[in-house]
Amino acid sequence: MDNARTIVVEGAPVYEYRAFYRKFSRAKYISHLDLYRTIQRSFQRSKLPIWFTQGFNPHIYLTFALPIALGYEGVEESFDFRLRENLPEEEILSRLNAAFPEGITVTRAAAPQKKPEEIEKAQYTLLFSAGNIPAEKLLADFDAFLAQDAILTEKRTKKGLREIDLKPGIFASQTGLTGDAVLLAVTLPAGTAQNLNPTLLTGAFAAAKGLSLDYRLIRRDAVLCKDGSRFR
Amino acid sequence: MLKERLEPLLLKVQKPARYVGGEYNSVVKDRAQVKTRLALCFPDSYEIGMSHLGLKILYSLINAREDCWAERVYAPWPDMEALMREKGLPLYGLESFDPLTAFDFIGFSLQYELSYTNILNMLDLGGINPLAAERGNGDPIVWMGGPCAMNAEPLCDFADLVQLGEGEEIMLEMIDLYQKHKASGHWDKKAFLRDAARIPGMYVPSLYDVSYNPDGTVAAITPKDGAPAKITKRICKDMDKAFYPETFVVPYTEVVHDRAVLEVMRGCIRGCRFCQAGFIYRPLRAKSPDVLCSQGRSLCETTGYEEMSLASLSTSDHPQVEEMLDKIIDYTLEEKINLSLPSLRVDNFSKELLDKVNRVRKTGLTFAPEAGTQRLRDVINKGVTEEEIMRTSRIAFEGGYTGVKLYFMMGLPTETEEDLLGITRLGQKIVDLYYSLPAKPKGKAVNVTISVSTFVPKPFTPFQWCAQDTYDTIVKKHDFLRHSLTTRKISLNYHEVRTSVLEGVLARGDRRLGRVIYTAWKKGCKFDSWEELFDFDKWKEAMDEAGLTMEFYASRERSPEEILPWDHIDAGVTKAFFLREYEKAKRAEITPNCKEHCAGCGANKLIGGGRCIG
Repeated sequence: MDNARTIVVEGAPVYEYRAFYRKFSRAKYISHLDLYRTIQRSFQRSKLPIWFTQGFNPHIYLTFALPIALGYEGVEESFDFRLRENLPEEEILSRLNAAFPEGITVTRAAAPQKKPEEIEKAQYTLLFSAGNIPAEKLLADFDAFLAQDAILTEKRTKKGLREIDLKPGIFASQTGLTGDAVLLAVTLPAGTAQNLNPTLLTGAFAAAKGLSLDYRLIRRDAVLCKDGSRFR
Repeated sequence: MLKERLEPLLLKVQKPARYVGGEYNSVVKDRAQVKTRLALCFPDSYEIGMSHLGLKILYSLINAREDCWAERVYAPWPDMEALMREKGLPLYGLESFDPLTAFDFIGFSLQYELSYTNILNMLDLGGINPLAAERGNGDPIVWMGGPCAMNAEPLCDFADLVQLGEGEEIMLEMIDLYQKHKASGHWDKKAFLRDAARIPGMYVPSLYDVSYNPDGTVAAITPKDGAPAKITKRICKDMDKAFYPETFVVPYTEVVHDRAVLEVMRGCIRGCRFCQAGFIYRPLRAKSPDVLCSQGRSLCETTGYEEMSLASLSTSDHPQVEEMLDKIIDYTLEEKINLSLPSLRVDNFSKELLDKVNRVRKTGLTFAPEAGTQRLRDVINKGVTEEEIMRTSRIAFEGGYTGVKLYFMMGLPTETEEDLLGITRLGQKIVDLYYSLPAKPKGKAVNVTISVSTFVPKPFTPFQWCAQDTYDTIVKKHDFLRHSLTTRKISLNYHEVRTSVLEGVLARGDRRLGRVIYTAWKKGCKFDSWEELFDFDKWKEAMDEAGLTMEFYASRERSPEEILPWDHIDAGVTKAFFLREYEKAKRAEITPNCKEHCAGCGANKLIGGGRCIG
């Protein structure tokens, strides 16, 4: 079977899978660290023959190619895990989904195809409003904000606050109105080299205008590789 | 619906996962299919409340009944509370998102005195008047329970009902009575409360009049409308048959105790004279090893927890501790579950069991001598000897440990400078021991951490008559202790002293403190146990405005003849026993533990008389 990548650890075969899941509803409020724990516990409950790291303090092997921020929904998020047996995809999905809490659903489990380093960008959809400000006015202001030559903001990095220009990072963006909210569809750099969250952009706008934004939706729709294909 | 109105607030607050419910194993029922709805409130943050075992037990117990639905409610952090108040959103149950006003019962767990203002704040945020006398016939019943319920007098203005002791049985009896009254078609809250007072262990504060002497002490506690003169706490006689949850709610976000907790027994045989828990949970009742194993297995399998801990006041005193540990360690090793074990008295363990215990990952080496000299340890009846500490430290150092933590209390009755110097001396002896060992870890310095808390006299202990050291005295003692240190190998930590003063006031308080709590809350006090939110000045103002002083409650020695505000509460252990123990303490005489010799504390009457153990 080729639904997993087979590796050998200390003489025994181990099967590596990449799971794709949706994160929505209440689960969007789980932070990355908490999500890691939540998925580990779900594996324990699922009773799948999960592979534990070898060593003094064995724990479930689990890695995420691209962590997702608190408050974000995800459509095609992924994590890698290992089993001691090669099991059919349907069985993995049904057992995992039965063990997941509300708001996390696994849709695929297959052999990893791309390396995490190949990730280049991600597509997002946002819906937001700002108190009593009419949506048309908010949209016009936001469009003007995006049209600037440079969009300067401060980003919190490991080395402290740093000023960066968001403008060159915007691969594509589209705005519009949906009901009484502003819609933003945007493609931004993602991955290990550079990662920009779309709320950094809207947050810079809010700060510049002295507004407090109410987000109706923040969703990562797709994670894309350098060759334009989806991360699989 | 409330849920939709909450949504926009959640990305503006810290850790929104605390407010959204939906956790694995949380129980959602159909409103139309249940008769009675109960809100189980913990008056502190989600992280603390979700760690509390008692409420987990009651949550599962009530939800096992088809006709009831229990939900969880925690105190929102001030950032969330401010937004909720601004938008007019009431406090709600995490399962249904219904406001507190939709519940039949609002219950509060009383774990520590400094959580009291949060009770008022949560009721108010839920749209319920905190003052019982001002609530109407149709308003929810507010009930309270937990260790601090043993002296709930400061909360009598706010509670309709107070449950004394363990809740597993009394809770169900309360619900049955409520359903009977509701089914009668003419609901009268007062009639229900009068009937509730006939349930053993149920204290209805409004059915007691308290009068005071000119000096502020209690003159009389008078029951009315047929309420009993003494209310005796409830216990589960047989822990093997007591209800225990098959599973826990698994939080999305990390909480303080995020693991499977196995309650191995209730009660304690040690009789440390400062320890309220050691007396109010008597008599000792243990679960058998096989029951524990099956409960542990069920918890781990249904939660996916990778960690398990054992809960009790002193696990080493379990009557079958070796068999129990043997079985639990086997299970956890096989399932790759981390077992966290407390410090154990390992003297009688077989070589085989000792090896097994040592295979379990250790957290650290801690001792609680509580006092610096053997004399003072005898006063408080703490059976830890210096010899024992040195012996265990030696084994630990030779096994690669480089750190020891020591817990002490300051302000204990009869304490002198000599006792304080004893704390430093013990720390120094451990440092010296380390450097004297040829087999110590190479090239590493030793670190002895000394944590000092302030002794707070509690009701239902032999020290319930004692004066608590004043703020100034404790601060002076801190300075004295700090100056007695001569090495950097010892680090010294103190607790905040002002919170201990307030804790002392509330712990031994009477009903007049209700006004103080109310006023302090009105002035903005909440989360008083959180140092960054604690505002002692507001509490002082509230005391002043009520014409009361902190000294009267905290730093006054009571005479044995005085009527104590909690004298109508029967914890099993008798007042005569406490007095006997108090006298022995003054003479620095120890009382052997229950296993060695029954001291006649009186708790055996709760299990029908005879010996509790051995």
